[in-house]
Amino acid sequence: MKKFIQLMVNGEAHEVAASAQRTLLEVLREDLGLTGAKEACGIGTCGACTVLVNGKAALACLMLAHTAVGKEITTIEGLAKGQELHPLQKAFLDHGSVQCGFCSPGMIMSAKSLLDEKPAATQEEIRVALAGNLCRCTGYAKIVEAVSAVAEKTR
Amino acid sequence: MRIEPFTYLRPATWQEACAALAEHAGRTCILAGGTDLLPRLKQQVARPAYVIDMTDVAKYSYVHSDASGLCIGAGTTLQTIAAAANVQKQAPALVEAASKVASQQIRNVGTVGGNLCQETRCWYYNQSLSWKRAKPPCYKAGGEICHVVNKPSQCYAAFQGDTAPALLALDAQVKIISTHGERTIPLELLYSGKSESPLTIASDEMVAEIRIPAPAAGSGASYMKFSHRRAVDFPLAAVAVWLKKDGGNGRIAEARLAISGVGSAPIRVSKAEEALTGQEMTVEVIAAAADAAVKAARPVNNLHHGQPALRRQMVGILSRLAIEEAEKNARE
Repeated sequence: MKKFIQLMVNGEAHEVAASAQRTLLEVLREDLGLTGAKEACGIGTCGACTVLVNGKAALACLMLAHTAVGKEITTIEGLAKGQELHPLQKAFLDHGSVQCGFCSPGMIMSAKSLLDEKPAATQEEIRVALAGNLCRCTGYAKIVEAVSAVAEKTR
Repeated sequence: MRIEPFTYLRPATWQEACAALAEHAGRTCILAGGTDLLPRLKQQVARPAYVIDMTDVAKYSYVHSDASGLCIGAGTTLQTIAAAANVQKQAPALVEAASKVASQQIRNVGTVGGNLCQETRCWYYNQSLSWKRAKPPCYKAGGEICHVVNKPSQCYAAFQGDTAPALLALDAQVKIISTHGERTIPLELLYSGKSESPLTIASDEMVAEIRIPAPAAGSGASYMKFSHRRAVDFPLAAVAVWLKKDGGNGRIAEARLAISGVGSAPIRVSKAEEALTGQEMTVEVIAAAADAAVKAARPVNNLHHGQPALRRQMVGILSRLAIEEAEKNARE
């Protein structure tokens, strides 16, 4: 049975009709048209669906949409301010950290979750925070480079 | 993968949660972090009529410490535990275990109660419905036979929790609540040893709190995990050790050793503990305890890249390392 729920996504309140068994990822992608978060494995091992829930990285494919009620959701679409990209997004472009791009939104959200808490994170901390995000182009070195560059600027 | 419809309940208090669980006992799943439940809902190995979401239940997430030890709410996330100063001070082995679980995203959401109550796993059972249609249902899925071992009437799915062995070694107790009230049992008694129904608690009960006694003087603990990747993976074998040294003669006064990932439940290995107790830390004593741990391991070929011989061997290696590490921590 569908029920109306209110979700706070990227600072805006959205009202959607969702049945209990739908995941947050399905609602973000299909109802709100926010297709930045991707579905790959669907069982929590790849990190492509990473979003921020109350500021912390979480997997949208493993969260029911109804569970997300009352929580602040941030997706990759919520990072840029108008035409100006978030420093992490810029760094990903500058360092060539994007190949096919499928993992990039999840990578950036995991990195943001870390840097919001530890702005000057070390490379080791970055590797731990991104360990749950798989990149099948295996562009890991460039991705860690980009996140390190953002962290270094704040040091 | 599609989730079958269910009725979603979101109680605000323990009383409401227990009442809902009692009313729909046997047809309900509890959702705390959901990182174990959601994949099972998607694979339709869990098909509850009701899901009780614990998100709003107050006093479900906390870490308290006093002279008697630590009290941790079952709904405390693994990340909160790993970062809590009082847990780092009083139970560093639990911090080690909690920070080795899966990935940052899962630790931010997954809870310690959920980690303890996670289902057993098997490469045949934990698959999508369409994959499983190729064969008749296995014993755990309601059929006659275990396809892995090819024997009827027994399930061999493995318990792969990280925090359970650490908490067993730390002599933790769990508080269980229901509409009838509460009871506290040693963590060991939470596990039935049966893969098809790994927990001993009734269908109207739930784990509410974990209690860890304060560390004794001269004691130390450790947790060691074997998995192919350093992140994301469940342990293919894991060992946790706690030991207390005698201040006078430097011998091991007391020891606890627990293993996980190599059988139907996380277990304490009493023969390994006996091999250590009252002894000096010598290569022979450590080897005897590690051998006892290997003998207690019961891995079968039911995990991805988890050949039983390798996992059994790793129990021995991890045991030796974990005993040495715990002894080092006891000295510090």
